[in-house]
Amino acid sequence: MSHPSPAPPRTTRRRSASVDLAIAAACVGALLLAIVVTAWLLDESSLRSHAGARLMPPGPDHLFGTDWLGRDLFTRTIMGLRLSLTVGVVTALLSVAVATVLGIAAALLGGWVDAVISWLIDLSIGIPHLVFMVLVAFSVGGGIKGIVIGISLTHWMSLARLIRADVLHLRHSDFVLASRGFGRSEWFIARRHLFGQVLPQALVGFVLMFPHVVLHEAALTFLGFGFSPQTPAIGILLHEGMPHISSGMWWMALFPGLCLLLVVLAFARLGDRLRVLTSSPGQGG
Amino acid sequence: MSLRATDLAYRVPGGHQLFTGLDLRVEAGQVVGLTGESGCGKSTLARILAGHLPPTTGTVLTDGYPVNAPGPRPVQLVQQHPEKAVNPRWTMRSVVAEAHDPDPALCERLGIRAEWYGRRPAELSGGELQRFCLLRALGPRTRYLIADEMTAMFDTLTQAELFAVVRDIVTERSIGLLVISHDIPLLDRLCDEIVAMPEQASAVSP
Amino acid sequence: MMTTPLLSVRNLTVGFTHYTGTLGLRPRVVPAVEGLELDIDPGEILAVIGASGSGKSLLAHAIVGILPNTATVSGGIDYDGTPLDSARLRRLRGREISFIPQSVNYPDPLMPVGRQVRLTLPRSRAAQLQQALFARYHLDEKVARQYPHELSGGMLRRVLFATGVTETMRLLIADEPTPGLHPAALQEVLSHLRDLADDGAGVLLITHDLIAAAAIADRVAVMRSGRVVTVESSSSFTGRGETLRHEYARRLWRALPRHDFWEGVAP
Repeated sequence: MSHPSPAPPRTTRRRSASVDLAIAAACVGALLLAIVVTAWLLDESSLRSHAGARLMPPGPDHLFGTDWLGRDLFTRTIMGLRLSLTVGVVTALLSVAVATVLGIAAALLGGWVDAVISWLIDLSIGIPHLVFMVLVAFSVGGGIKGIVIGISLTHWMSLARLIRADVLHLRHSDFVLASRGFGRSEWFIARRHLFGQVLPQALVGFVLMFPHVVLHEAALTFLGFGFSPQTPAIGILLHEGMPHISSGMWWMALFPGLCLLLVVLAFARLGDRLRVLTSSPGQGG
Repeated sequence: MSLRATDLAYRVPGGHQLFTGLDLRVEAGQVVGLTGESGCGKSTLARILAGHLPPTTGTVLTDGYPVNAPGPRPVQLVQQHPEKAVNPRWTMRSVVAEAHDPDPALCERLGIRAEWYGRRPAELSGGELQRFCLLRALGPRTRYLIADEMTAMFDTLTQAELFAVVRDIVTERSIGLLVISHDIPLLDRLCDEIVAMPEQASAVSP
Repeated sequence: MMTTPLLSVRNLTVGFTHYTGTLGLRPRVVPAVEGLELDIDPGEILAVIGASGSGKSLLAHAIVGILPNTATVSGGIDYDGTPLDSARLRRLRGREISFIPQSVNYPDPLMPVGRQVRLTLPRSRAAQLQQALFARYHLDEKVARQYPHELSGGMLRRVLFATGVTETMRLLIADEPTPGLHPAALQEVLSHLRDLADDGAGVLLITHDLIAAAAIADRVAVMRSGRVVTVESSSSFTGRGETLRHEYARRLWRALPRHDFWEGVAP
């Protein structure tokens, strides 16, 4: 294809990577904005139960229908998404932070620190993570704290391992060795050389982690280890909707499920695009 | 006053013995050439002398002190691939500031233009980058300079220009210079003394 | 009397998209080769010299179609008078067009080198031909059973020749075939290239060794920051280069350590 005779198709593929990224980022941005703004505009009173409007199918008054207590499902879904996104951001940030600090520390300090961290990584990866997550969430008392701690403690390992490998490689690169030769401290090297190189990796890790976290949050809640039942969380909505599917009230589980899927897919796509771009060599000549 | 390596040996981790019992001495103000076949450990020796790599056994002393004592080292290394020696994400301004506050006169002699400071390594040619590497290496505390195939990737004009400046500076400041190259005519022009890496049977067969 | 050149490169331009910025996401197109024009005739060695980063390897990679994904290419390449598109290139590569890469990392690290050479040969006679090739390149028969990491740089270089050079070859692109070779091996590689050209092949020799280029090539193209500055007859690289047409070629020649070196450059 480098064959110059016809128009070169090579760049179109490249350019489409960054266009794809822009589109994915715009989708995620629009989705986030829509959720936050709608949640802000919505009337909290529709969260209350209305005995007269129980189990209504989707219609002009209730876009997503109502549940068996007459609560508007559209409002509950949007509120649930907002909650999920907030928890997702906090949890993903926390686990990326844990991964970055431990990954850099293991590679830089070496010796027993590296041994302990690597052992911890292997151990945590070895345990089935849903079980581990449930145990952690349960032991810290459930609720939002349980979700955040449970998920972040079970999702830092693979990123930490990647960062550790990156830093191990960078530590012996010529520019780091030269920096030491100019009398720069290990702290300077970690902060200025290594952190900057690791940052794109961490960013991609964050975006890829996010949909995962949201799904797990829903799963934990669905299983009953997450939010308390009155909170409008997606997991709760799904949990409540499930028994009604068989009796024909399909909308109770369908709409919250679809919305969750949409958000997760948008983020996963964004993360994928980011990874493609940052991992390209971009080197030549 | 000298850079002195005594009884150096280096074994590649998990690999073969690169060299053993190696002695080398560069006096302040002296220009020494080092040559040898590719793969005989010239570049490894350069890294050891600059304190980038610990030898398996043996010592490197600069003016009587261990080379890897804390603080800016008196031995600086300029290598074959300047693009590996600088952080690819930094601007040249940060790259230089990492080493020392550059003396404007030195920048001028090395032919570094003011507009290059705002650029990143990928936006400079190899020759331009190597000038920055030389600028970093020729800090106020530098007593010895190791030029490891410093111009092997460049054209003959760039090579002549860079070595002309380096020769003048090391003469003025009485810096000891070790030039590592496979180009014998180059070493003949530059050096007071040329030594060959000892050939070692073990270096050939793994 | 105009004959059709074997290979003709017309107005070749190669650019790269670099990603810069703190997160490495800001694209910037950097031209690496601009408006390149070259011809190679059968039986001729054309040397392309230039510093690293002058774009000479990209020229080779563009001809054999192995530029990385990030490259943007325009211009044309004609082989034997007709455009060399990717389908035609795929057909000719390894038969009429051979490539000797710069890096000795090209051989498959997990396969004995003898087998790698046999893969490039007609299956019925592969074993015989491989033995003949190894003999021709002074490679011991036991080398055939060794893996790339067990060989020295010079031996690997000869293995690359054995893999790349076929009987039906008409055009050889050799990208820096000489670094890391001791003088005797260097001489051997160069005279081998000369033999191939004398047998009628066109050779494009990419190198930064001006002396080697002047010694064996017929013409020398001098590259500087992505452009061909001048194409000189190799016989002009003699004495103080008085007969060189271009000032830059003359200055390069005189700046050799064995000539004026730094006396010609203003400090």
